[in-house]
Amino acid sequence: MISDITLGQFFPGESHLHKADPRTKIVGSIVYMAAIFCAKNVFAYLFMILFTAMLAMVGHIRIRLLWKSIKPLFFVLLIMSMINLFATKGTGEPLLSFWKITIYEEGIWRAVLVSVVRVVLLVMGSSLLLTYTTSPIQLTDGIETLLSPLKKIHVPVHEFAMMMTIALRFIPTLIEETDKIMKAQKARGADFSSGGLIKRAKALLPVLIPLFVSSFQHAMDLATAMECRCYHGGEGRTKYRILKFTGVDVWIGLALLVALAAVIVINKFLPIGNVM
Amino acid sequence: MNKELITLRHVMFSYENDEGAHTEAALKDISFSVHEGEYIAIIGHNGSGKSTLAKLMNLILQPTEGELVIDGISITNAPLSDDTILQVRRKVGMVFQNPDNQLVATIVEEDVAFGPENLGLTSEEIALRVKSSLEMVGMTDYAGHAPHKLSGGQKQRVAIAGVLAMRPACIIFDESTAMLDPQGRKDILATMKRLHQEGMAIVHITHHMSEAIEAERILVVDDGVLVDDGTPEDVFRSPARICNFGLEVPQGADLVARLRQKGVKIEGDCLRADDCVREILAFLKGGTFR
Amino acid sequence: MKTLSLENVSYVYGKGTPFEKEALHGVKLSLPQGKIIGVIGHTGSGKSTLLEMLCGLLPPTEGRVLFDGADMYLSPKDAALEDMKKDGYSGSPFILSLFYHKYWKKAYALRLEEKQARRFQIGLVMQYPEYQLFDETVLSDICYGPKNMGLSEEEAQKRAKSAAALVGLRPELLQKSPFDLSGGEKRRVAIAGVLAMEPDVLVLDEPAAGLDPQGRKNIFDAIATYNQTTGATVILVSHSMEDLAKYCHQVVLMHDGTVVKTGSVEEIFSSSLNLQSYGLDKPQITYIAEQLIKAGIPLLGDLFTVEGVEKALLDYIKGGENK
Repeated sequence: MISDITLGQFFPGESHLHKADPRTKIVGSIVYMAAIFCAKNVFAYLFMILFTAMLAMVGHIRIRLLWKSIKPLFFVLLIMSMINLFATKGTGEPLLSFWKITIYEEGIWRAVLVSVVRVVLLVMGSSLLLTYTTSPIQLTDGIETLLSPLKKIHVPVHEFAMMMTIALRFIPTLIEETDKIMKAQKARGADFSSGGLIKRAKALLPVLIPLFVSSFQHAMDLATAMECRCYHGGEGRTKYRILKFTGVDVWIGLALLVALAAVIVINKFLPIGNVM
Repeated sequence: MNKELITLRHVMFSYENDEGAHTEAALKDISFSVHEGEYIAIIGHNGSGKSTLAKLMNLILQPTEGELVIDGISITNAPLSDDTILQVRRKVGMVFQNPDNQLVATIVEEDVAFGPENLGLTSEEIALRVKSSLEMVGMTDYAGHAPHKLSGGQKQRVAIAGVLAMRPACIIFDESTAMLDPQGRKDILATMKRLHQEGMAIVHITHHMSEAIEAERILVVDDGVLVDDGTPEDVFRSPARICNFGLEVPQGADLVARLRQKGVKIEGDCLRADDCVREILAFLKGGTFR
Repeated sequence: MKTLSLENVSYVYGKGTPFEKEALHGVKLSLPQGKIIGVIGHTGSGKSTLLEMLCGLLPPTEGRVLFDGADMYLSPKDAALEDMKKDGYSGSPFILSLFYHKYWKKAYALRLEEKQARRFQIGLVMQYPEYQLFDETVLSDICYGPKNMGLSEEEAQKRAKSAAALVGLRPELLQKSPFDLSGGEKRRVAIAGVLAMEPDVLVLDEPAAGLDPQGRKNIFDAIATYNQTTGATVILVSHSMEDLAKYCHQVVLMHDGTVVKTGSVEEIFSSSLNLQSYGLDKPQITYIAEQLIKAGIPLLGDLFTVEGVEKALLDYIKGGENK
């Protein structure tokens, strides 16, 4: 069913990664990315692969799910590795040379490590830390709290967070409604799939207009309902779930920092097969 | 009679059109009171003004003329402070028609917590209220679910829990059953009854007569005028009158009224099916016609 | 007039995913033409899936849906193979497929044409159809369907006006914006938009949901009038047993994705069938009549409407007086 495509691809669970504070995971994923970008050689990448696998184990996320997050990127990866493969100039003898193309050993390493492994790790790591194990609402909470110092310079942090929550809440509702309106107009003989661009765009009007109208209706009704539940902005508002750091956060934070340090150490003391 | 919770004194209301002029009055000279712990149904056809009435009781609208007293706070057409509005809304909660348009959060318990969060309660107190409110509507098992995966009736129960968590003295149901299937409707009615037994005042706006008869008292609104105010038995005594207001009576009551018109002297009140059967049998077996 | 029937139809949502759910299972159903047919069943019994399938919006995962004797969801490939057999070709589908590109092209074009034509022969009014309104005026919104049929502006307006009259829309509303109307009026505009296509089969999902008693009566009366004047088949889903008992000729009872029983109002609401076990109630008046019969009052005739029971009781009382 179309409404099952909920945003965020959150997989509820009870793992340590799920229990960790969203702030830890947001900052943690930045540390993780830094570690990946620091990695300069095969061993550093190998280490990060192992580390990511460990994260997946801690988060009870199966490899198959991780694979799914990579699949749509297949062509991007292919093109990026091709460019790296052909455009890298090496220092040694070319491995292969025909027509205008020469391939060096460095080119192969770069194609595999920099374009494929790095991007795959970046996507997997941030999915693991953020979308897969953190519910959208926790994520919003985390961002709101992290950004709350900005309130002092009058950035409407609370309002942004509330807008995000409501958007997340209404995505499934609006998808369902779009589906319904399209069916109704099809039954009245609407044809969305033939004709040129302009004709098709015109054919969509009978779907878009009702969708706008009902979105406004939703928004107005929801605003009234929120006011009836005493909503009056972020001031004087408390939180049901107070974000709290626990032992898990210490462990996850430490692990990520250690990973970053390890990558730097490997870069320095095992300078074999440097690719950067 | 319990203390008066909401009192309307000669309330008139008219909407403003785009030019700022008042259109024809949606409510004309309405006076009545809702007492603590009372169970009232308000019926009327679409556009009769019953929803406007609900919006007044929750300060979504303010009376154009007349006075509204909610929990001792007097409200006229003078501007109100935010504090007053909040104070009233803590006392009087509202459940709307479309369950989709009143759930804010992506998780059930977070949604129930929305009201208490706005009241500035401590996290512990909110947790307590979320738990007890969900229990009250029988949705504890769904605390961690996403609202869009629930049925209409379940969503509406979550909405009720969200209002309950603010601990109001009265809940207004503005056609809250209109979009539900029969099972959902039964669940919401059962919830209303339970809340009423716990001492909550209930105002149920509906055009399902079978639901209205569950109330202790029925108000009938027709074209902005309060035309009837009494027990279900009184209000439904004359089906012809009710039909004039664009409404209908339950089938059993209709049958008995028709028979009475034909000279069959059935006594007693016949709003519910079983009462109807009993009264007809009493008449037939009573030998009054043999 | 055209008949609709289902042959061993099944439907599975999300086949092959963890969300797999069977919505219909082995449904056999033949819908008599020119009748008002009610479909009842609790939420999740498969009613909505059935409706969408009847309207050509949802192909069954198994079985066939026949409209006017033809399979509504026949694939162009199968259609081409059938055509070839008619032309005297024989052989395995594989061998035939090597030659069938000419047939395929023809079959594909024909299927598209049929599909579009069927949209207008089978009209669908979805739940809360007022969501489908979009045009500037009520009149042009009602004209949307007829114009998609390829009718001239003049003809479309003529049809729109008569459909608007049928559902009881006052003529002065036709030039207004549909978004300025009341809820009940919007509903009527939406229904008129489908009636204006003059479908042979009219399918409605809870057309009166959320309306007050007067509004409900108006809608059902309009539907009954359409059925009587055009002889169209009407398929009607409603939770209101009272309304169904009053307006339907036939009732289809669904439960857990299957058709439990098809029959007249009498057969479905009679005491022998325990509707409660399917999560449904009887009309209140039928319940009252049954209780009276149980208590030894022999009531005869139509026990499904207030008028019917009133007559039965009066007859009984008169019978007593004459003794």
